Amino acid sequence: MASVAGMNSDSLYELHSTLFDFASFMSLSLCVVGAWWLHQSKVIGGRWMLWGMMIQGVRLLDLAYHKLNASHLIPGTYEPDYTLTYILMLIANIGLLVFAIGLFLHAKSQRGLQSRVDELVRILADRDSREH
Amino acid sequence: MTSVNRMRHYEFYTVMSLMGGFSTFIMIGLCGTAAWWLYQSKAVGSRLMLWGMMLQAVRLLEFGFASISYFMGYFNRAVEFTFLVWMVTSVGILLFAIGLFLQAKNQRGLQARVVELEHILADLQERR
Repeated sequence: MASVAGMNSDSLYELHSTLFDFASFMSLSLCVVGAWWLHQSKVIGGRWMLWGMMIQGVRLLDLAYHKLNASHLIPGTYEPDYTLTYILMLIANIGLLVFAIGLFLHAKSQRGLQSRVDELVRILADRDSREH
Repeated sequence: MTSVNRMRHYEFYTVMSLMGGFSTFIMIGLCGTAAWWLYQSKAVGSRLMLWGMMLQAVRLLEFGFASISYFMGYFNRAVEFTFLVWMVTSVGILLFAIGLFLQAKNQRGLQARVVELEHILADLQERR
């Protein structure tokens, strides 16, 4: 924390923004793959999770906008329009909520599924050993 | 959009921040409960998901800190604290995502496996 406090505000902001963007991008990718697999497995809530993650994808639009703006590729003012950021973040929050509802439904349906599989395998193994 | 544009910027940011805080709170509640249930079910990756959500809950501290600062009229609060919270929550969301990834990987076909095993069991019971 001491080295962080020693940095000036701009470089600190840059560092944290980069870390935050990296974590967002990585978590988005991992969650999209996870949601896709769950959707393929036809689990309850899998579709909600996938839709939530797709809506979350608007964060990438915001990221792209700010990167383009910082590199002066957008003509006009160099001051970024934070209203757009707030609207996109609001949409991303809705996506996050949809994802959370999907995960909640999934976890609710999955309660004890693993133990049910273990139990069924044990019953079948018992039957097999008795028959032989 | 028109009504949003008509609002003053200050009001707009306040409304957006409050909505963001509210959705974060609901999200942490739902995902935390889900992670806890999955952890209880001994699902693979659920521990990581639970830890991730616990780290995410640090956001609530920041939200509380910001709200208190706002209501006390202290606007020049320490930005470093917010940045630190961002860092912790970034780690949290990464842990959660890795946990979910592992969980989804493990759960692929688990539902189908249960149905298959129940069919086999029913067949065996019918034969008897």
